[in-house]
Amino acid sequence: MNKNICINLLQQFTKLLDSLPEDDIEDVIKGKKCFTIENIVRKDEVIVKKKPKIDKVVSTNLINLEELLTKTHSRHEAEELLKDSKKIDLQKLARILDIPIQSRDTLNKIKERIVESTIGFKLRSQAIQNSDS
Amino acid sequence: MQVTSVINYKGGVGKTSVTANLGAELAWLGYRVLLLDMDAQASLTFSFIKPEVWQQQYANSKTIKKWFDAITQQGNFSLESLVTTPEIVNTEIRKSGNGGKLDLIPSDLGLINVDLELATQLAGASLKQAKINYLKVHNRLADGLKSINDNHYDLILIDCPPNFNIVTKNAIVCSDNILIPAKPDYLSTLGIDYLIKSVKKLVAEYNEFIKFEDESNIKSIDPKILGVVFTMIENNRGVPISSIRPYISQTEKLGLSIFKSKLRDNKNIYAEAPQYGVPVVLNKYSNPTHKEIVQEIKDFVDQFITKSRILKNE
Repeated sequence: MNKNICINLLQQFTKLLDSLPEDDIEDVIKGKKCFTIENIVRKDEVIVKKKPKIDKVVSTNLINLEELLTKTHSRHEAEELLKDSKKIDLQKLARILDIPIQSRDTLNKIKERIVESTIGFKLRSQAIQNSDS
Repeated sequence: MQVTSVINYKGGVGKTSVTANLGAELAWLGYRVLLLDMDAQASLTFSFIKPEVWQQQYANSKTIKKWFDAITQQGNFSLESLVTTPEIVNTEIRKSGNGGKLDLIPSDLGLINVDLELATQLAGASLKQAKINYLKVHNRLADGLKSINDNHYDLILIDCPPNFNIVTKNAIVCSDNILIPAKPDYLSTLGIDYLIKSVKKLVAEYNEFIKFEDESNIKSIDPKILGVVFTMIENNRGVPISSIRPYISQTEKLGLSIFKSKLRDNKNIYAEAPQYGVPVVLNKYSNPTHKEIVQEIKDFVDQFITKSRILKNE
């Protein structure tokens, strides 16, 4: 394994650790939980397909999901990506995106915050700057 | 001599505090700065001149409104004759020994009415005449600034009102740079979009209309957005609180230049400074929080100098 691959793996692992709550990390240390490897949607595949679909948000692909969300063109498209997500996964994603959430926030509220922070702000900026008035 | 307009479409974002502190610190560093208060609320004026003094010595004769009134009535009135040197702040500035100064052209609570008068002068009998009138009306301040000796100042800072009326457009037309103070919240960041859109529209219109002007003495305009300085920041352990961070990062993602230094909210320190005529950055309190706030302003001013590339005319 060459140096660059090692660095890349470590970077991915660091990002993953950063996205996990302290409790999960402690559970991994205690042996109550473990890391698993799952298939994820590759970045180059996403670029080819204009409307990528993800069935389920899992912790290992949250970072890629961030990229997918920022490439959407409408709130609806972003909402579709998050459609089947669990609250715990969305909370993790919000943490990665540095979006403030509160424990009392509902699933829909967290989705709304994520959508606003990834595509919503661009849409409102375009709406104002492109208006005729 | 460089001209910078300080503006946001949204009011209450700390625009006047930014202008006063920026001007004062630059003067402390040795720059010769002229503040031009174009906001009818006259907050910048009252940050350096007490309202009763303003009423007795300036209101009827020495404000930017009087100049606009005289000019719209075809009078001959030099903008430089309105320049005043606020004594309290300049006493502090002189202590630096750097040779800087901070002058002011005061505003007037009646400035809001000037816009109506200017608007009546926009009409023309033909399309060509209307476009020529447009240029004349929007060029008033730029023409007026020509009466100010280029060697007297390094920088003119214009405190604009939170709107885009003809008075504001006059400021933009004569500006090299635009500085946008903004609070990191939803409505203030929308104000940035409104402002950018309005500036683009003005620049496009103005430069298009120049083609109709027979005299070639009117130059095209190209004011640069210098950047957004975030104000009234609430910090937690030295970083902005989580609820405002998204607005900062979103503004950056939209491609705007952001000043690295962010100015925190502190009513104890910022609220009373204008009352005593010396901006926060020049007050020498030993309190640690005050020192941190002063350092934030100084860092912002350093970045302003780098971005705007203003030069001292020794």
